[in-house]
Amino acid sequence: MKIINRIILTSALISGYQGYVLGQAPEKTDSIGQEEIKTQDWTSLIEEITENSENEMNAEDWQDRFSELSENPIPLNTATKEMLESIPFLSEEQIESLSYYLYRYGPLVSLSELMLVEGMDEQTLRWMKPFVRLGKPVSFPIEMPAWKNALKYGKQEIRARFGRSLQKKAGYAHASDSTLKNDSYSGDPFHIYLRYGFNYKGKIQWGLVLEKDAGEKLWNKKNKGIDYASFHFSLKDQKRIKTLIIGDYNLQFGQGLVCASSFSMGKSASGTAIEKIGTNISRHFSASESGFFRGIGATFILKPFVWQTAETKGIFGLEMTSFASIRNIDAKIAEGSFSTISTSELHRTIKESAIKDQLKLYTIGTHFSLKTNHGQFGLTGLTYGFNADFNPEPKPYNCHYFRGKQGGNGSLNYRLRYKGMLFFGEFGMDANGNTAFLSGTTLHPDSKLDISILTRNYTPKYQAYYGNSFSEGTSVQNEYGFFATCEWKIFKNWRLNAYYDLFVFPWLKYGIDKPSNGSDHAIQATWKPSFNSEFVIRFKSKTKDKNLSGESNTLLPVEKQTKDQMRIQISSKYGNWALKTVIDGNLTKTIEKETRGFSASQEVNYSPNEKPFSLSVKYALFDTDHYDNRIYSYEKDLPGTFSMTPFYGQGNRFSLLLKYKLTNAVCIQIKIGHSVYQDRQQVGTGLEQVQGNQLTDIRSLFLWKF
Amino acid sequence: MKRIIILFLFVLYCTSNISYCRNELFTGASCQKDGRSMALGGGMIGIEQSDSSAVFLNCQLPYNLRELSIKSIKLTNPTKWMKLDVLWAQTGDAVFQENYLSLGASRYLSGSFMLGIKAGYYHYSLISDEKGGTLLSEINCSYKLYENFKIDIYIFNPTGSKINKGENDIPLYQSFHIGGLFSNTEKAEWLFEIEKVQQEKLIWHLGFEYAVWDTFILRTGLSANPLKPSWGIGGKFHRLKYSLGGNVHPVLGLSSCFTISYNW
Repeated sequence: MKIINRIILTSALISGYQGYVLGQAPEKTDSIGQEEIKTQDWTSLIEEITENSENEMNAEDWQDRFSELSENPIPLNTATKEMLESIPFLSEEQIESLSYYLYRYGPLVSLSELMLVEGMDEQTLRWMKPFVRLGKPVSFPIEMPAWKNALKYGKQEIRARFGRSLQKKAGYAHASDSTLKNDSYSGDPFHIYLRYGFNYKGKIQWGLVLEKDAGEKLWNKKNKGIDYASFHFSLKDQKRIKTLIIGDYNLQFGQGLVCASSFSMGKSASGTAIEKIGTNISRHFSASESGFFRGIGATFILKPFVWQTAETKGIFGLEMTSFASIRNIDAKIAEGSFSTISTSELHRTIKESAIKDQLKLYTIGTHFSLKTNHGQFGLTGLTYGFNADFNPEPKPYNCHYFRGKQGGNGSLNYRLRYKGMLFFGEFGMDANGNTAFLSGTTLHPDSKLDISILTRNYTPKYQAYYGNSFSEGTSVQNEYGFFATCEWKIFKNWRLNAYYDLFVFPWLKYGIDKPSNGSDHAIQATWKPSFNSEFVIRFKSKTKDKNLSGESNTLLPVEKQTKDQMRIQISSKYGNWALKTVIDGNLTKTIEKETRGFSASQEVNYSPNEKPFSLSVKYALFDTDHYDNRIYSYEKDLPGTFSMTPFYGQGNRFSLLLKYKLTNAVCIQIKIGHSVYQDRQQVGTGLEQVQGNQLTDIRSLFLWKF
Repeated sequence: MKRIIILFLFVLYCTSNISYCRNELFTGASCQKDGRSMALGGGMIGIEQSDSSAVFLNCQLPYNLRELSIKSIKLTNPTKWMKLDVLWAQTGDAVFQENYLSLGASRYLSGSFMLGIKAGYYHYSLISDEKGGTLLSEINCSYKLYENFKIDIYIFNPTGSKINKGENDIPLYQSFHIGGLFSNTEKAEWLFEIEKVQQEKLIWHLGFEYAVWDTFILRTGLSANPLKPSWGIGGKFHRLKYSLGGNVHPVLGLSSCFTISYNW
């Protein structure tokens, strides 16, 4: 059978259908050139995710995660199920199909063979390409690296990034005026970012991140050094220690009802993978100054359960993850209490610097994970405490918010398989006995059809400081909902995706002064006339309640707001050239008014083979009536940064990204972005305001791998 | 009535400093709206293209007013490395004159991907001795998604050039066009195009062309906003090609356009 499969595959390759040629991913991944090529392949994936979440922080997490994955591609022939689960867009069905294929036919001889795995489609393979390699079969348990070898053969990387805005912002102009000195930026307009990392095959890793935002002082009484510093040391697969991290790390347990500081796919019109899967504990190696843990965390294998081969598979496996964290957070403490936690991560003015690291957050917790042949169960418990009382100003909408010094959560999560169906979910409870529940099902009734369904019930009183699960709102609280998504491969080159989400907020929310509900749905058709070309058309519509404008100290009447969006995206590759055209339009309707937004962009990429440079140019024209009509547009950027520029008003934007590889180990990149607005003579607000209708930012990156 | 409209347009021009003719002068990928383009609903993809050396003479008559007529001449010459074209377009009368001169270069970077860039100089002068000018740029690219389906992109004035007048700079509009050209048979072509001019409503164009014989073609189209039906014919005699097109504005009436070209 395998011979027949390979004959089919060979025929496909000979016939010139390059779609099957994923190519032999290199064993070595330290070449900068290779990284650049790979980076281009997964940016569209991040764009899709970010556009749905409309959250740049989330995008940075994704970027970091995918960057790490691409630097340490997963060896498919020796990968454990957990390793495959770390590729977030792979569905449970696809992982199962791949494992069955490996079990049935033996190791893959080429990545092209993945096309023969049931449930794999071209898009998934394209996305997978940067993150996987074949790998040689190895015996279990995995050999532990000798420290001497690790230090000798480990890969190191230094990234230095500098950037600034060319126009003078109001915050710097005030600095020369003594009367406005308290309301001005104390530092220079340069953004500085330095990152050093060591990596030995993903087993031993350490890294240091230093960052100073524009306007922050490099050295003053408060800052003894750079504004933000992050360090981690990570050890993996050391006897019973599966993962040990000292320093900064992220956690994710179950579906995120209790704790998930990393990423999730969320609502997307590009796939049906809605389940949160992935590692329990992972290093934090980005400039994101919030949402991570600082201290020590480890996963111990209490009883091994090796999934890969029948010979080594046990009846069940049990793992335990324990962690402890102490973090300083920005908050203004007055008389032993604080009302808000600052998440801006900026310390440019005296006022911003005064609240830096004033609050201490202590967290400890444990998670048990039980794995069997048919499913997986998890038990999580964590408790957290502040060194001051959290006491936000009482408002009707926030009466169920967390208050006090201490809180805690516990949860039970599950993943079960039955006759090709996957059931997953989590039941969470907070320290006050309030509950939250999420359950989902993934069905695969036909090789051309995938369906996922998810329901959620987060009671208004449920409190989870670290919660981050599937939701319409920003927190895991005060939401009931039903979500369904499907993907239908209608014809050979056509794919249809759709989702529908119905949500109810049983209590008031910020900006919505009554219990409310809404819906969100999308349909997307993708046509691939050839492997190098793609045509996508997407319609989205979201209806939500929002307050009518008026006095803020009273409960306001609420109106429905509907936002209809349409996108046409055409992309094509021809040799060294790649083109992408995106047209976006939207219509926002309320009782009072109808407003429209439009954006069109053209991107041209030139990456000549065997040349040390590549170039990406993008031009965008936008015209929106209102901020509600803003359009998020992805822009290629330096590694580790992510540009999802919101377009509103009338104007255009031009961006240029130039990469130049000096040697095999050293690369320089420059990014220039220039926006011109037709509808204003001042750009930005407050201290970020710039006189004139133009805004130019320039950034550069120095990357050295050795 | 027509005189009143001219007067209105002229007053509008003087007050806003944005000429109606200026916009028309720049219309289309080649900075001229030829007979084929107008017949296909005004889409820029309908503009006559030539892979050989050719000279085009074109005359537009917006609302059939001689005072608003736009005359242009274009020369194209494919070389070994790229196709070059030179265009000169002119409009105006005794009160005002506008001229646009451009030089373009385009190249097929692969079998199905073409990239073109143009640089031009726009100049206007009024009877009151006021005059001004600026450099402009245009970008267009074209790619074949499928054997019978081609996508064209055209961006006018991406750099946001404006006429410098001290504190009262005269802005020139920017626009983005995207269109698709689909041929379901050898004889028929369908065109759809979206045009967005900065600070203006979205305009769409729809066109259909049918070759009755090899030497004679019928065309019809529709564009909005405002809704304008259009029609036209085209044909050839040996190396000589001609096209005639017209459309009807709901208020301002009929506009027409005639193009003649010679290929060698």
